[in-house]
Amino acid sequence: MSNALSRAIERYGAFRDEWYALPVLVAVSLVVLAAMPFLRQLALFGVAPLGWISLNMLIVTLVWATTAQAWNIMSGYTGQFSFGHAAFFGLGAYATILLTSTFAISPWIGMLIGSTLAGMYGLLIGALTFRYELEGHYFALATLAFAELLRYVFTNVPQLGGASGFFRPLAREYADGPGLAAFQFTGDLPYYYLILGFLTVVTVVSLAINRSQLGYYLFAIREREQAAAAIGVPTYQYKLLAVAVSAFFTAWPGAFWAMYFNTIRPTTVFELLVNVEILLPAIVGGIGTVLGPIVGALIVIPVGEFVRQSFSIPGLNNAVYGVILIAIVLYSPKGVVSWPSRFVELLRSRTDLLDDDGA
Amino acid sequence: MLSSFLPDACCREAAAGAPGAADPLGGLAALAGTVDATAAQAVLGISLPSPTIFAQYFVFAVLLGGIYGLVALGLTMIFGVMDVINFAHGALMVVAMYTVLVFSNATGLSPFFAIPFAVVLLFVLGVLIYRSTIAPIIDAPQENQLIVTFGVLLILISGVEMAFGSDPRQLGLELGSLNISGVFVPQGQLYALVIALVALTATWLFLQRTMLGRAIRGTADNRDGAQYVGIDVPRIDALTFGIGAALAGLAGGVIPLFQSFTPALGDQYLINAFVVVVLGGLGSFPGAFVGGLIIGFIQVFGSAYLDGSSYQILIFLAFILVLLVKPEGLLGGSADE
Amino acid sequence: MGDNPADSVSRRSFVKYSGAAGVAGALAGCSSTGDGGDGSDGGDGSDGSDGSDGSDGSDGGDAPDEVIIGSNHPLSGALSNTGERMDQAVKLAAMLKNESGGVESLDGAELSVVSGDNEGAQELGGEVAQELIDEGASVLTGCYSSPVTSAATRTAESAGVPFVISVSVANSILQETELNYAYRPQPPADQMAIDHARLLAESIRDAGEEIETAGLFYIDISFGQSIRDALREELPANDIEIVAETAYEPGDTADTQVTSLRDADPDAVIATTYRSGTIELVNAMDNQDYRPDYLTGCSNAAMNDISALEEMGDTVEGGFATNFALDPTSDRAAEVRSRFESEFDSGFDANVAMTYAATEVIIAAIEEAGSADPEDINDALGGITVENHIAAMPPITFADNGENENALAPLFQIQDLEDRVVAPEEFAETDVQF
Repeated sequence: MSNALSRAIERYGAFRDEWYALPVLVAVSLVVLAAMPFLRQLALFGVAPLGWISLNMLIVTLVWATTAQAWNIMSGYTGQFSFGHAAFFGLGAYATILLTSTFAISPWIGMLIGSTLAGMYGLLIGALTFRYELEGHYFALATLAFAELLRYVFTNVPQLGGASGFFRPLAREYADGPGLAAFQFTGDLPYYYLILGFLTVVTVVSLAINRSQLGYYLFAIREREQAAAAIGVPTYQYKLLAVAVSAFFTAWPGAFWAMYFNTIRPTTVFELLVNVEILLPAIVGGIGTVLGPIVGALIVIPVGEFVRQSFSIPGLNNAVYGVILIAIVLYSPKGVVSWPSRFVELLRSRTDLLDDDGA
Repeated sequence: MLSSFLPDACCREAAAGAPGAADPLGGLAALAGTVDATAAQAVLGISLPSPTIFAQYFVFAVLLGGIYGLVALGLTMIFGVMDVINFAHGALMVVAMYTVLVFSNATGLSPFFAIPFAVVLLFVLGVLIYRSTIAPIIDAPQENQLIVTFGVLLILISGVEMAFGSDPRQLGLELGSLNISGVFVPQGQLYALVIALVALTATWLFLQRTMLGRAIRGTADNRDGAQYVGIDVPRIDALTFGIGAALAGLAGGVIPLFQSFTPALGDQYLINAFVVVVLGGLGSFPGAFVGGLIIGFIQVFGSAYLDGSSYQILIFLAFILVLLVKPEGLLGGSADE
Repeated sequence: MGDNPADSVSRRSFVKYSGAAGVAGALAGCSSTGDGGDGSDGGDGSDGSDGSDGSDGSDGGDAPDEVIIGSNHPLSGALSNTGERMDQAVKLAAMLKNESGGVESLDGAELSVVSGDNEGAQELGGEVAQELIDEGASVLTGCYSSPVTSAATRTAESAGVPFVISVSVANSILQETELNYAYRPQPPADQMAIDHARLLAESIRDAGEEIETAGLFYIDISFGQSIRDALREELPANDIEIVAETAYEPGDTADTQVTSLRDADPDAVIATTYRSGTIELVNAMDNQDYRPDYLTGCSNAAMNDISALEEMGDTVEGGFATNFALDPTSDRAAEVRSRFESEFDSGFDANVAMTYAATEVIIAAIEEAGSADPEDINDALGGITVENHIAAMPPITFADNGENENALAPLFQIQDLEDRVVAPEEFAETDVQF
């Protein structure tokens, strides 16, 4: 092992131990994301290594990164595994598009109302389930039931759009025309920076919680709830707070989805698979970490896209995607963000061994 | 039994008053008026359908409940013993459906011969899946197992879809139905119910009466304890997963007896199976059937008397209610009950 | 057989981005030099004008020797059974055109079809549309599922490439958006219900029979609810009272629904579902020995699919159905149907017929434009009148919002397990039988 390399590794290890490491890494990731629309067009010797990435795919990636980040605040930090975040995602989407198309209310107000509703629904779910001390699978399935409940309520109430849902109205029907105020743009690039903005806000909130006393309590609840309660942490209130914050922010990408994709239905925002898509990046990237959901989304969606473009037989891509998912989870149960430190650990132990041999 | 559908009838009144809703029940009410009024009708002033129609719904509710119970059996077993939510349960059922199709077409034999074959095949598949994907992370947090079984689901469903396409298939059995004084009992579903009951009894006897069964129950009760008394827990897990998959195979195998099927059918059963499992109690076999019957009754009477698919709302409300009031399920406990 | 188009998609992904000469190179000599070659694919909408740069290349040479049609359908996933057939219909239309000498106005230029798999997913609608445009498609068609179609038409709009919808019933796709590049030859949901209620009532009453009540059996998703809502208006308008409504959830049996219908005893049971729902309905009717006077389908693909009809057997015999379909008075239509069945060995249903007709509209527009340029084709579509098409409807011509002004869904009767048009008169191939 060369000295330079081992010194670099030492430095990285030392850097990771600094308090500012995480904020710096988060900032770097966000800056890289901001440059992505241009990076993907960069070409060396006529080859664009990221050329297969489309702007649309990047937008979808950030949508799921944002949901995963919001999901993580509740499920990653407190350990209350929610399998029903589609409820909050869908409420955000529905409130936005319903109020805009029915009452010509600004989508931004709709989004705020939607996220408030989502927060309240989260409080309701939390109040019921935590009161009755539902845990583990029971809690996960209860949250799923609350999401499915909404799916059928929206499907069966004509005033809520029924199974056909809603179409986004034209910008000039409720605003001066496309633009930030209308939450509608003519090209895709502004949408990209808007969802990046959402992701940044949620990430900063997540980072702030992570670094605060609140985060400390949440982690305590995750690790040993009874012990936390015993030393006077009001666990019930803190869990409720985490659910409400998480639900509130999950509604944002939902609102974005409705505006970006033009139309929503109960099946597009409340379906079982949406629950999976919301949390998948967090698990693949690293549950309970700030970087995990972002890194995870940048793996899960582009890998799916790459596989989709690479296999000629329709359907084969999903099978290959399944294999990759299984492989990632099997070989890194703590998520992809644990790779660098595991690498460092590995090399450290190797160098230690070498040193021992030399002695 | 009356009590189980009266709430539906009440809700129906409210639903029918909703704006924009047509009144599909006018005919019903008129018809009910012409037949003998039952005591409940006289007392409560609620119009009931003719006894034959009511009996017909009742029969369908029992048949459907039995199927849901069977679908939930394998899920509850894996749930109860290993504490794993097997997301691929529906996909395993789908594999069994197409196995039955291929086997019957290839051999020309009755599908009743194909079902045992599917069960054995699924047992092997289950053990393979367990060894390759679940075993390495059995002690990892539950979310990892969830993602892994989700991955298995993707692989199985895409595989079936690539091989057979997504056109609905059916066996074309024409089993017909029994007509018992105006009430029809479709034979396909009847066979399925009988098979479900046999499977329930057999699995229950296996768990109660055999050494292996006791070892499985012991593992379900206390994994660490089981390890201490010398039970080979990883082997028990593999066996449990295999049996769970075999039961999924049985459920998937009987569905072609009465229904056309597509690769998507498994997932359509899956969510209801989750509900059934929790209603009945995680790991409880009789509970699976009780849960199945409850869902069967809500679905049949709900779709008869409520608008659209609003009965699903009732199903999830019932589910949430049970979770909150009796989270261990109506017959809660582990496999040893 | 379905592999070829997808093959080319994957090839495209790598060929194009490595800047080597490939499909794109053959098309355009202009933009394949150095990293400039990637500039043309940079325009996924953010700078939509770039998208048309690529295609400017294609009419750089005066008469291109091929024109590319992009087919954006669900080739995998739950909708793939229908999606794949629709994709095949597009290919067949192009194939038959090439066999008869290609595009005349372009000196016999060949049509080629590139296909993309949108998996029935909203996220992929626009993605696949963009890929097809990048691949050189001058005009697009798709997508079956309405949310997917909506996403795809928007991408096509910003790239300035015309989009002719193959099948997608939701009224709102065109009626609540302002698209200059989207067209829909098929009748949307409400038109289907209007035609069904009117033609059914007329045909039965003209023959001296009675129809006063109906029971609905609909799939409880967007498609079923849209038709249901329209039927709630249209049936009473034709003096038919709705006495029962039963919703069907995909994956269930239809036992309970049939009992409810039996109980209400309507003259007609009107089924609006996909193929599997219709098969379940018929199975349950057989099991309960129930035959309404009229079993009908409104926008029900199974009732126009001979293989499905054979599966369902006697129970559907004599039933009625309203759907877009082949013009039975046209020999060419019959030819297309048998050619399709032999070429792809799969059932020719109403969705296939409509997709084929939509492709005919595209071909007519290319012919009219005499150009492979998307703008020219779009201009042609705006003013076109397509008389020679295989669908049972009057000449196709588009209103300002892109809807077909003459969209019509005829009434069929199932006779000897074949779907025969019985109304309106100009398309009728046979009389109603009772």
